[in-house]
Amino acid sequence: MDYHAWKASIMTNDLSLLLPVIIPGSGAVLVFLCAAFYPSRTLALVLSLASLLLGAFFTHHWDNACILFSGMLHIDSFAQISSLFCFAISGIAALAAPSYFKRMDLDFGEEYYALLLAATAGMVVMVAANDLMVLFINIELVSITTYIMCGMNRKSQKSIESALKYFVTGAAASAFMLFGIALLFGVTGSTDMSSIASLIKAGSVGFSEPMFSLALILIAIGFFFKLGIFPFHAWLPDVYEGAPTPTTGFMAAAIRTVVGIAFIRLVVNLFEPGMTGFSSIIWWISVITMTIGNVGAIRQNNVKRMLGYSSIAHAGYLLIGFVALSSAKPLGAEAILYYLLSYSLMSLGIFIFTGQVEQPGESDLSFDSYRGLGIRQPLVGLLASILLLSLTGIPPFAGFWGKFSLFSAALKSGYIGLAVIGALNSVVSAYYYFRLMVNMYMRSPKTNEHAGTYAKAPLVTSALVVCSVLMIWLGIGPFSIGHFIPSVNGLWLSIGSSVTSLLH
Amino acid sequence: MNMPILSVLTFVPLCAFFVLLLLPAGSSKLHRTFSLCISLFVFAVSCFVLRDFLPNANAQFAEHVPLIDKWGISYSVSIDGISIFLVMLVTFLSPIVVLCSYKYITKNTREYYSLLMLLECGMIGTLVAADAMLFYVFWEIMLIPMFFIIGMWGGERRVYATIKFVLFTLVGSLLLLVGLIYTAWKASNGGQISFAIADLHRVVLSTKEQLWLFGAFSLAFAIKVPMFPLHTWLPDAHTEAPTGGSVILAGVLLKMGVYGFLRFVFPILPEASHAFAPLMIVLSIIGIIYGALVAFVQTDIKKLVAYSSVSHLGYVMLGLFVFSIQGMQGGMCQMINHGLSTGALFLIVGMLYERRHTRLMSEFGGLAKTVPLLAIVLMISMLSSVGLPGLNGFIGELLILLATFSASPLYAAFAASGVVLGAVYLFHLYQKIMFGPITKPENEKLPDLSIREAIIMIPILALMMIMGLFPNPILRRTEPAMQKVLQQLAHQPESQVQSQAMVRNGLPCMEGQHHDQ
Repeated sequence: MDYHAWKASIMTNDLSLLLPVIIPGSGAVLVFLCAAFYPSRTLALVLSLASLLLGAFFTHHWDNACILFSGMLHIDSFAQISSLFCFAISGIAALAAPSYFKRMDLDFGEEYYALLLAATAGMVVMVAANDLMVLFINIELVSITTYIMCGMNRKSQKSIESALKYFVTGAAASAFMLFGIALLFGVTGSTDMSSIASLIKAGSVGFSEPMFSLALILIAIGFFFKLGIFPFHAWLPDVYEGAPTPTTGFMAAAIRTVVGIAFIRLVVNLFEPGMTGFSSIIWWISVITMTIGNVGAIRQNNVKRMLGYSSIAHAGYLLIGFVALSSAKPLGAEAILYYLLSYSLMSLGIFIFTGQVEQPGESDLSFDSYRGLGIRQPLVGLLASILLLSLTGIPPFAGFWGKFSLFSAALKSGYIGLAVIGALNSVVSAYYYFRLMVNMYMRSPKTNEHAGTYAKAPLVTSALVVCSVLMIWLGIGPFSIGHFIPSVNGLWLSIGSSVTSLLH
Repeated sequence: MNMPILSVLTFVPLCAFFVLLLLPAGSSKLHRTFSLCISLFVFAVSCFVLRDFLPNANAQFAEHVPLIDKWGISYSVSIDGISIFLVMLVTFLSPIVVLCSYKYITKNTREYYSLLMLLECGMIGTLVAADAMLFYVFWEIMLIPMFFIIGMWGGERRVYATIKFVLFTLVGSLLLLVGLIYTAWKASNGGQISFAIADLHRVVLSTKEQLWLFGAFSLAFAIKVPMFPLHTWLPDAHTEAPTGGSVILAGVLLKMGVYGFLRFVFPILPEASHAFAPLMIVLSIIGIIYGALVAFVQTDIKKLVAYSSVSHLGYVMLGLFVFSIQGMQGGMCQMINHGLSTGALFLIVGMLYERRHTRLMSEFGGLAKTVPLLAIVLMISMLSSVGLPGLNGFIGELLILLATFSASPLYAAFAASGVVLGAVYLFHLYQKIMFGPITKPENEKLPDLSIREAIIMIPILALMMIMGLFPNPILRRTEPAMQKVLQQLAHQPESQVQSQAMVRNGLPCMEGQHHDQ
């Protein structure tokens, strides 16, 4: 496209469409500036919540599908629903952070919000990115902010280790991905997913070309690293364990979701025509990932590590959807999207809860720290139980419907064995999720040990309430509440239409 | 029907669950009174359902609200001859369970009674659901309160027992989920998927598919029943559960497995049901004899009653799998009887435990002198469990044995030995704890039935006698539905089913009924 046409395509209209990106981005700068002149965590929190709300508000412009910057960004309802979720997750993560920082006596605070906002801006671009370079740059933006957030607990060796590990593996993943993109550019002469897709459809490039296959494999490896999928999962438990818990929650919820969503867009554009060959490989990777995650989680005594392994298992379930994508395309994509949305909320909630149980100076958060918590603090116990049951996949919570839709998509496309293995894996996962509930309700605290207690903080508890109530509402909510919380039927309708918009 | 009466039945307990959670934690009197009132109210409502229930094969009191169009899932409920008496059993036992927990549950009463209410919601919902996913949701909801009830108020090994219970149940139910989704896709024929149970019944499956699905479905249901090799969770769960939990577990939860066979396995998988029938019959008979033998050697009274459940549920499954109207009706009867008589036995075990804080048979002896009323109550419940003519237990066992005999005298001979064995272990139990000299000084001054305990037991005993003498009101209402299941098993279209059921309704239909009347 020549320069003038390109310039003409950027109009004020386009910029207003970009407000959901601009607002959190400039919010990040603003928070940094404020921190320099008026260091106040409350101000930073208010500013970041305000910019998240404002950003979420402006996504309502994204109703009509349009293409920005000569195809670099595809604004469609798929991007709309995904970015709304990004805002929600960042908002909940922001709410949960201050109490943790205060209790752990960490000297960082304002920066956390700035990084969170920067990451959110990157996430919003990622879900709309239709150009591999745009995608890559924003994955980097999100990743680099998260590396810093992981190492924020400077007094803790584990936190430093976590940041370093995450950085090294993340850099490797980026290298793979970038190399893949470069190869793809070499083969197709473009980084635009749609034009590559049309080249594939026209038959001018394809899997017969080794370079093309290699490029896609390298890109996929990069994504698998970020998602924590076998054999690129080993970093995940250590990083999750060492990072400050609100960061862990943010990583588990936001990064997983947004990388998964970007991967959906990538897969339906590039992988789809040759997926049948790949799907049997992904079948195996899915099975191994979920089994490794679940078996690993059973053996943990540290709750954060257990949740880390369980998130590997969830990445395995997620791949069920990608396997199904090869033959039941819209259904698979819808299932993945719903699963990601529900998983992000429940994992965020459970990490928020875990963070509040963690005591300052406690390096090892074991199951014993939860003893008697459910009896002493019934409300928190109830909320945590909802999240745990949802993670296990017990109806009527959203986690169940996520698994239900993944199994459904798998069975529709004929992968019966995969659905059965997924179901049996859920049984295994029940053991360690229920173990936490057993400790919360059925064992009395050891006398010689200082009992773990959920540190009360109204903001955090309200974040927890939001997560658990959404678990119920996104699962079986029979009617919509206001504009932003849909009924379950409305949610599925919008997921359906967003996937339709993605496939066009 | 204008009033959504089944929704009231299902969701009043759910509302009570939330209300109870909001009540202050300390006032246990408030908790139990409130939940007693709610469960009595639900029972009263269910009586209206029973009054207006028409004895035909149709689903009645239907309600339908679409929930997730994308997956063809709707909130639709209805009740028919298969579920009506199980619902009645739930609503009848619930106030009794609340009453029997007054003294036993002293810690965390708010949580206990709220979980009981949630459990009642789950049980009624499972029985009235007319949509497979709705059924599944309620089916899993039943699991959660039971997990907490066993784990929080149970005996010493409660954590082990409750985790075992959860894992066993989940293995079955997640495979059931996969099976249900597969069936729904098959039934959709490439069109819009629907989970309405009536739509699932129309599915056309190849024999191979049926056999595999039978495996998935019946694993879930047979674990719940429990059938012979899958029963090992039951003695643990029963022994560790508090009395109220045991009564619900034995009285209702086990029947959910049988209900699953009637509602899903037989209509959806007729060929496979026929193919697997010999295996299921043999397993049932093994369960009958094995349960009885193991019950005989128990020293713990509660374990004895728990194993007797394995034996009794073996009869139910035997009755179902001989595929005749007597067998089906007998199975239905036996389910209700077992709910009453085993429920009563667990209640009595609980009363003995509250008095002596032990359940070992050797700790008792000669109680008939100190607690004569309790002895009478135990005698009647025991006789009902053994199947004495005139009490409710007789009619079910008789019908099942008759049906089995006409199918195969050999099977019947083995199954009938279970009746004898049942008498052996129960009389053994009775003799050990009620007769003989008083060996322990603690047993000399035990309080007899209190008024509360009498209030708990009298309705059950009354119902045992009424049902023993007049089983016809029940049989008449369940028969059309059972006929329909039999027709579905024989691949006949529905129109014929109804006309045949109508013809049969006009006739005095069964041999079994006349023995008692």
